[in-house]
Amino acid sequence: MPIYLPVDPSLDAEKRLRVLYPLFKDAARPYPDEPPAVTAGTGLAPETKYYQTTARAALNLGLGDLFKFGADGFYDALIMDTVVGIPKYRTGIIPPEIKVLGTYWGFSVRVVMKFRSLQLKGDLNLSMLAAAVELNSAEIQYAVTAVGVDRRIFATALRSVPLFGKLDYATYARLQAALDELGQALAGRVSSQPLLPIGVFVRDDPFDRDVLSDGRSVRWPMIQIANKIRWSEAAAKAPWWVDRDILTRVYSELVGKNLEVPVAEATANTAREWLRVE
Amino acid sequence: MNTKEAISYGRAHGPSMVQRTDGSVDVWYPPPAIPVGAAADAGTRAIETLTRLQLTFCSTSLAVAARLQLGSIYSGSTNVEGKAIFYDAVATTDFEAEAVELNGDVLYTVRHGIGLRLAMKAINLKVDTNLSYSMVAAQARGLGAEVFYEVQGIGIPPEIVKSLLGAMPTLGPLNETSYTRLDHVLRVELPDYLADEAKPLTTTEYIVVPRDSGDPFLAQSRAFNVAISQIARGRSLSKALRAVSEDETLAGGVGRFLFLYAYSKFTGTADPASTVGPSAAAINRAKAWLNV
Repeated sequence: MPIYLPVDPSLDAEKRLRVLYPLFKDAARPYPDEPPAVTAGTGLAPETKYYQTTARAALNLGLGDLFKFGADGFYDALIMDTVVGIPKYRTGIIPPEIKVLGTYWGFSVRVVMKFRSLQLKGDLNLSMLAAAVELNSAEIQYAVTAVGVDRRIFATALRSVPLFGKLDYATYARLQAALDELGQALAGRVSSQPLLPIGVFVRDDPFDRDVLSDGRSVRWPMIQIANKIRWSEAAAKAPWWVDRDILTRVYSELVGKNLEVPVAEATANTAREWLRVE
Repeated sequence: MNTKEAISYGRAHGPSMVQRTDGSVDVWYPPPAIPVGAAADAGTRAIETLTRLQLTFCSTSLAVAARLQLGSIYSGSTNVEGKAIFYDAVATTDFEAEAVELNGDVLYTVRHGIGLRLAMKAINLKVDTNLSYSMVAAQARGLGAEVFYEVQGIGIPPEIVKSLLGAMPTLGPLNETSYTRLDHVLRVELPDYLADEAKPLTTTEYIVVPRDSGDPFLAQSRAFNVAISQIARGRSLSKALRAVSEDETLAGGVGRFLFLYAYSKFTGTADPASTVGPSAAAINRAKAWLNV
């Protein structure tokens, strides 16, 4: 069963999805290359898709400024996509080097939520998050973004979307109604505007990690710094599960912008202090 | 189609300030004097290229907002503890660029768009995680926080922003009255203005998200390391919490939350009073995470 991965739809000069290029390289092209045409009068109904990940992965997918520079670090993320358009799938035998099994072409209204909760588990949806907020067992921020809009739809969104980001049960009900309305407005444009590659179908989630894996990727370079191993040596011998961005970030925060200087005793002590457990 | 590019830091992307004879200052992001493209289609350019909307709330430190001059309410705030908070209701084009320092660090993102920004300056916030506009307003009402707002036009001239605001000043303290009025402006006046196709719209370049200084990434991941080490040692949650009780960064707030989060992910237990030690399987998972 392919996984739906919502993405920012912008393409680079080679018609690759910009946000997927770092992961998939040349295999980051949507399928098919060009948007499918929609005949005037075709009725398409909005549907809802969920994708659950970490705030860091959501940032990598270009899913909203809410995740940018997330100074508070470790959050889980839930993306609720109200989409309208056409899914297109490859057929026949698909070799492993093909990463994009299909593409959802259309427009979307995206509610991106970052949250922290000890209670929420499993496959989440918007109403579960709202209920958790109501019980004070979760803290959540959300933002609404949309692709494929014009000024009229922008105006509609302002009138209907509950503003200002606290997702409690009252907000949830209003948000749900707003999404229905916006979905209908977007559906009215599918035969007049070129559809956008707003999501892809993939075999495996490229971000199959949780916030604890990110933490593990911090711990490994800390051990290297405590042992005064230089950045380039650490980067070369890091096990597969260490995220290279996080490794470099840890080094740059502790060692400094010049990554290749030898690790000073004081720096090694900072890392040892981080690793110390009573 | 792809317009994401790196722009050098140093060029001004911040808003313009218009000094009035009565002493007031308007802050806005003006459109370029000569619109990109032919002069004849200046009025329609923005309409044709708007593709996205962002209703986003974000915050940064007051020092960063002051340094980038993101509003007149931030000037002189370099040494003040507090938060600069932005609520953006903006329709944007596909354009996205990043301003980078010489060492490659991203300082802020720039987009092209049209809309309103509610810039706020909050001092004495009791709770500064999970910030939302309603929560900031609630703290201003009941918890002694001082919050000032400034309404900034993004591509919308000050005269029009003023007419949207009616009797309300573009700058002032956030209280019950101004909160209600701002909500109404964003929900009624602004969409009415945007929906009127006869009104020309012109997008402008604006700073979306400035980078916050003081990233607690390392401090927060330490909470995971300590919690998982406690599991590897076979400690119950109550015993683990006692072991770290001297540690200020784990005793409360985000640190404590992340400690409990990691502990419960591995053991299924989030009850601080629990005296039951982790299962052998949980201990093994913890050891695998620690790579020991």
